[in-house]
Amino acid sequence: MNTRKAARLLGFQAAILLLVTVILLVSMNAVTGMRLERQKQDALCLKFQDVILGTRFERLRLDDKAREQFPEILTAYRVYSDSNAFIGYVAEYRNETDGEEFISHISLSADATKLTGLTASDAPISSDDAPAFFAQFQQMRMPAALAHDMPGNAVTTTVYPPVSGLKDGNFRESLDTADSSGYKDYVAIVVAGGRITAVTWDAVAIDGGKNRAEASVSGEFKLDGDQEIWAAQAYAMQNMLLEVQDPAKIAIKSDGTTEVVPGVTVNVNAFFKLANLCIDDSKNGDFAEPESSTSPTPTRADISPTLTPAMISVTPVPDLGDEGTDDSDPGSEDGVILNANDAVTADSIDGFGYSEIKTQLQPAGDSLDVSRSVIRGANRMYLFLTRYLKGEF
Amino acid sequence: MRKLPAPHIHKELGISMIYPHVLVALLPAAVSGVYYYGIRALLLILCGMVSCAVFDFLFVRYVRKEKYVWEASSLVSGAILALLFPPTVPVWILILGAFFSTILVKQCFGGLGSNLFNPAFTARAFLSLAFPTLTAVYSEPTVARWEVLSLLFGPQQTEAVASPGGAGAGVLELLSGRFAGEIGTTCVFALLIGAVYLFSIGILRPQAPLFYFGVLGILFLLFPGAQGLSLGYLIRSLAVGGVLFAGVFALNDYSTTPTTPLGRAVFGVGAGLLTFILCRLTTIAVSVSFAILVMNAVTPILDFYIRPRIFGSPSWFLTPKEGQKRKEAAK
Amino acid sequence: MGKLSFRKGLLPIDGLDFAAGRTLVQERVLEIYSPREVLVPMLQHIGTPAVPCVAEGADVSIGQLIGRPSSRISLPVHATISGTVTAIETVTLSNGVRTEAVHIRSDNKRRYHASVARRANPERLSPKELSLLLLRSGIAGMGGEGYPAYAKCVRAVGNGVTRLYVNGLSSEPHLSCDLHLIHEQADRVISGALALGSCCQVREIFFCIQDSFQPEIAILRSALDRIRPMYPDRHLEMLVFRSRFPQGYERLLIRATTGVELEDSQLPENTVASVVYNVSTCAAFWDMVERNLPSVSRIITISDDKASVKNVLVPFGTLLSDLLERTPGVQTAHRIVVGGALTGASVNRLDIPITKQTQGIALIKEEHPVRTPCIHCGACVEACPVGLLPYVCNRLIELSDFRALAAESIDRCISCGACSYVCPAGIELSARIVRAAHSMPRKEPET
Repeated sequence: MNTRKAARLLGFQAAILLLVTVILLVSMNAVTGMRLERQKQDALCLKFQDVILGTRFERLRLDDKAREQFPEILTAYRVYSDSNAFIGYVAEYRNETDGEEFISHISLSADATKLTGLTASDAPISSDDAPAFFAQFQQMRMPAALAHDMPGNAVTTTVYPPVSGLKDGNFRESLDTADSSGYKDYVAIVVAGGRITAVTWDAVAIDGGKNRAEASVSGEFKLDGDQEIWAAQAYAMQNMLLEVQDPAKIAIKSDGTTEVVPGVTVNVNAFFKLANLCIDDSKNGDFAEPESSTSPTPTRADISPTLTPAMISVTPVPDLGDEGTDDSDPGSEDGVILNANDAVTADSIDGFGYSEIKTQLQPAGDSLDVSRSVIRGANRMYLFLTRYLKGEF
Repeated sequence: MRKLPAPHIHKELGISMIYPHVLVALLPAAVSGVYYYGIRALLLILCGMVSCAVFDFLFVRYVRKEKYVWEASSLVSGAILALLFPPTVPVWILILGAFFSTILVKQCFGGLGSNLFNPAFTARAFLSLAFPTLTAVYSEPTVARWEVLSLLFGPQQTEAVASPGGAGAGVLELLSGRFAGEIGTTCVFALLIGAVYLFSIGILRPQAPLFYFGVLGILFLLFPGAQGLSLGYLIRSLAVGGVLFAGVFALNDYSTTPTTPLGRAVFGVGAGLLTFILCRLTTIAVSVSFAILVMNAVTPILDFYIRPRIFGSPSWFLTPKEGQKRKEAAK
Repeated sequence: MGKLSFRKGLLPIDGLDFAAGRTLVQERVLEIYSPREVLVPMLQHIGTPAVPCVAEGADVSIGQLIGRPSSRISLPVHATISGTVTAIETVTLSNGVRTEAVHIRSDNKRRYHASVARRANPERLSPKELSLLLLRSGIAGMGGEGYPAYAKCVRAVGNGVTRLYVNGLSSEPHLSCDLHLIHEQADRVISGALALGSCCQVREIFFCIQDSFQPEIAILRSALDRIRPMYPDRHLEMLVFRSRFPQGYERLLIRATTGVELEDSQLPENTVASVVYNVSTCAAFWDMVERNLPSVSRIITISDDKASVKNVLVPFGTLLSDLLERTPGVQTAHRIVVGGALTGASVNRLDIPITKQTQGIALIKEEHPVRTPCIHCGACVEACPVGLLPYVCNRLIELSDFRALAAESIDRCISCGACSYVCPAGIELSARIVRAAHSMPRKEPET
């Protein structure tokens, strides 16, 4: 037999077999794949029905960076409703407390700002306490913390006591001279009900250009090195003052910087000076002119591309969720100067500054650690989602 | 012009064509393996084929010091060997298997056609005894198609699943081989395509496979075990562990199965019984290999006693008495 | 009626196209060949050679006796063309037999001998007269076996045979000469068979034909339907066989029709009361009965590797070189085979005459396949129609273990070549087994 002819015939047969196999394989796998997918979706639907009622779950692809930073997030899904509308996120989260692991399911709203459900069925919480505890997680603004852990240790007084004798109104003070870069710092505060309710720290350009905060956002005003932009630092200072109410409670080092407010590296002498002046104004009833308080200071939304909760609250925060709080050293040289009876030793919870905590919760019975762990999971998930939505992963 | 003995024409299906045809018949199984397990499976199959051919060549050329007549049988046993392993197996195990099958099982017995045992299945049985953990780590299909690290470092923890055999798989998954198993033995319809192809060109002799499947099917039906009866169960018992693969490719290995149709039928029945008994004691993958090896060993006896009736002679098979007579005549 | 067959052998599925040439109607048409010279051998049959009875220079015509039978198992030989005897020489036949042969140079006139004349009432001849005609016709078994038809007839009568099988099965797939006869001259075949039946004193006549040839089956059936009423005392029947090689073998035919497997010592005549004649023999005998024309020519098939190419009416004694002169494919042929492609003998020279036993000539282009080791596939076992284990025999021949070979019944081989045909390793099993069987002592050694 002609070998070449035979080889050609063989090749032809092989090609036909190959084609038939590939067609059958792909088509059968398409069918089985659809069915497996449906089964998987149904299983997910069932699994997460306590926290979110979705019909389609689309898995979030986590890259290595995300896996490294959030190893405890096992799987995360985008959730769609019957009508294929996007209704939120859900994740499976591995909690760990006292060396004991349990899984919690966490769902967040579509804009990733509210917790819509949380369950941890195998968490070591007594069944008496569980319903009340988990019921708190409905439509809850994030981030959250145990009220127990918040400064003041009480729901009603979560804030530092205000400086006494403040009069309500707007108050503004500015420096008389411009600094070397051509800006005149000013601080404006709003006092309502005897408390400082708004703080603005900015600087006006003497050449009539953009304010310093705005300029720093747009990149015209730059700080050396890898510091946060000035607007972010100012924002952090504002928040800190809002939180502690009294500039005297924020320790400044001799070189004019502070370590208490994370992320703030600039010289804050001007802020303190002006803030104290404003408080004096308030005590004295020296009101500012209304129009000056309307100067366009960047809001948080404007500076959010660089300013993140994580940045605000960065380190030397001890891990509250895992470590507990009670036996920590209450305050240091540079720490927040606290009232003696305050149990809180750090300035943030789960990486969120106190000022950012939107919701305070009650623990499940006496299981503080477990509750903390559950809430920490929610917070971590929130943190992950905010970063995910910014496209970091 | 020369005087040459009759006949002067020959059937076109010679050895130079049989083994390429078998390779073509293995193609669907290989394609399914590559589809499910990606580049690893492809590399393993190619590696098995190449290493078998190389060992074959080296032995014939440098040990037996003969001229190497190339035929595709070594490629066939290499491909079968690779298809018998889970996709996570490291490549050195495959090369070891190729050495074992080609040198020890085939060439040491006298090369092509003289081997007593099926080279690929013997090597599979040997390796699963020698490396029970490395050769029994199965991977979920369609998950890691581009993963090649296991070729060098063995099974990776992340993808390993405990046991083969799609416990929750539906009928369609079982038919298309979409469950954890060996590279080439899971896809039922690919194996059937190969079998039909071989049968249509006259290479597959149906007796042994049919009796093998028949006996196994009946036994599985009669003794379904804990799982209970279902279509999926039947298909699973044929698909998992390479029963179908062995039926098509090992029970049809020319050198190691009886030459008479009745002998092959007995071979199929024996292999079926042994497979069933062994798989109740151990895993199905191991039991298939060992059943075939045992029947391979029995083949010469079957060949001696089960023979065609001589034209004009009254008895259908060689009675022991007549066998004794022949033995005496042979002395 | 179901198709008859025997076990094993080769089927069309094995790559043998039994109906090849079926569609080539043109090529089935008979070509009549007139040679310039013939070399008529004195031994074209089994038995003793005839003795030449013409001298050099004698003028002969077609049908003239040129060789007298020398014994009871011998046949007369007749001139196959008209012309002049130029020499009486020795010739070697394709089967290696050396014999005397009469060389006749043609006068291109196709003159018939005076004795060749139409008989007035051929149907009224008595069995005795018919068997005398059979002897005088010089017909040897034209299915290739070459056994004198007369001797067979005598044996049949002696055994009181009751059935006559007319073998119309091609002995080989590509030999279509017998089918050509049925296709073109069914009446002649049936008449000859009836005459042979009278000879052998047989009432039941069975015509055997294979299923791949539906047109021939239809022709034969209609011819039988036409003739049957004329002979109410005869039983005429057609048997359809499954196409299978080697169905032309007498013993396998008997196996297929009666289910009886004849041993070596048994003959169809004395065991199943049957006698088998080839269709060509029947037709040739009718020539003798009708026209008093002895056996001077026959139809042979020229085939190639795959199919029969054409059928040629050739006078006996025509030399191969002469016949193949104008046949395309001779130059490119790898081997030239006298007989069928499966069982014929290949020749290394072309000065060989066509004899009464020659059914065809095959021009083979393909080389023998490459020899590789035996892979124990068992194809030969499944092909062997007598149930040998050819691969075992081959191994024993390699070991020269003749006692074991005797135990394997190697002497039962009918040298059909089926094992060699199917062997994927290209081992010449058939040739080796036949050679070993011939070289073995005929009787098993007593111990």
